[in-house]
Amino acid sequence: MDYLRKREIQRRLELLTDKEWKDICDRCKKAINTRLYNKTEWGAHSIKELGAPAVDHYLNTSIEKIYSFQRDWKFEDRTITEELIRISNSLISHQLEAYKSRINGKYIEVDLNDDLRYKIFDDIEDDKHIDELINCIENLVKEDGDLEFYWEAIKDRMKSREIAVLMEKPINRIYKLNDKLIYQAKTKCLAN
Amino acid sequence: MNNKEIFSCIADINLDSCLNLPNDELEKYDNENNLSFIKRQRFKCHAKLNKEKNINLLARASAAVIEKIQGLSALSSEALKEILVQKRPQMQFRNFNKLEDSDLREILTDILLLEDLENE
Repeated sequence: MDYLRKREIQRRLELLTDKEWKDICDRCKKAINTRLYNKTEWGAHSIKELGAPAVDHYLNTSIEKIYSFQRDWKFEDRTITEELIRISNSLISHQLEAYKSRINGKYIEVDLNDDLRYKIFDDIEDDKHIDELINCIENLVKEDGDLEFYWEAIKDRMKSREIAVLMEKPINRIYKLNDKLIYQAKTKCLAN
Repeated sequence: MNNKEIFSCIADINLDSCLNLPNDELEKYDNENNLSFIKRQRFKCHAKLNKEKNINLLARASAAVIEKIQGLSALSSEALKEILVQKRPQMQFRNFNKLEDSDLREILTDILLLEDLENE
């Protein structure tokens, strides 16, 4: 990254007030907590492994990567919140891979690559597990009319705003349904 | 539809919700430690960029001024203060006493580089 880009990133970071940073932290923590639901007591994301509570560890490390210019904030395309969430996700995936390879007794060098795709479910890797999770969700949404309708829309690859229009509900209600779906999948389908 | 894409859809909506949920509906966390951490990062970032700026300026500086800058490391605190007073008489001498030798050298380095650039 050249000096002028670093200066521009620094200038944009300097414009953020403490109040804005608090909001950014809340949003990033929501994303990290959703991804790591039920996964911080032991294993790859435990305090024992990370040396700090997972949410603070991943958020602070992401912030450090932006301020130290190890990661480029692509401010042309993304807000700082989105950039930090994507970096946190990349760090979580990286930590999980490194932990798994260590537990399996083999050393694999895992690069902290630029894969900034946003993920929710770490437990599903192959088609068999994906199908199992889908079947489990199919069963659990049957108990809730709105959730069942929402799940059908998701299967049709609809976006949140399209679903809101289709269901004639405010967008925030769609976000809540999504949270509920993730929560139920993580607690009832992936708990073991 | 590829079944894996269903979960990408859910992830996209979750990200959308983290970014766009109104502030008053967002769960609030204690972020004081994060804010302190950000302050420290801000300071380190500032120092890092200043250092990089000086390296960039040094790369453009003349051989004579580089020699002068290198010569600063051999000078005592008193000698550094004396040069500073000569170069910048408007600077308040009493403030120099609060500075470390490394700070005095840094200020002098900046002054020498600026003079060199002005003479270009």
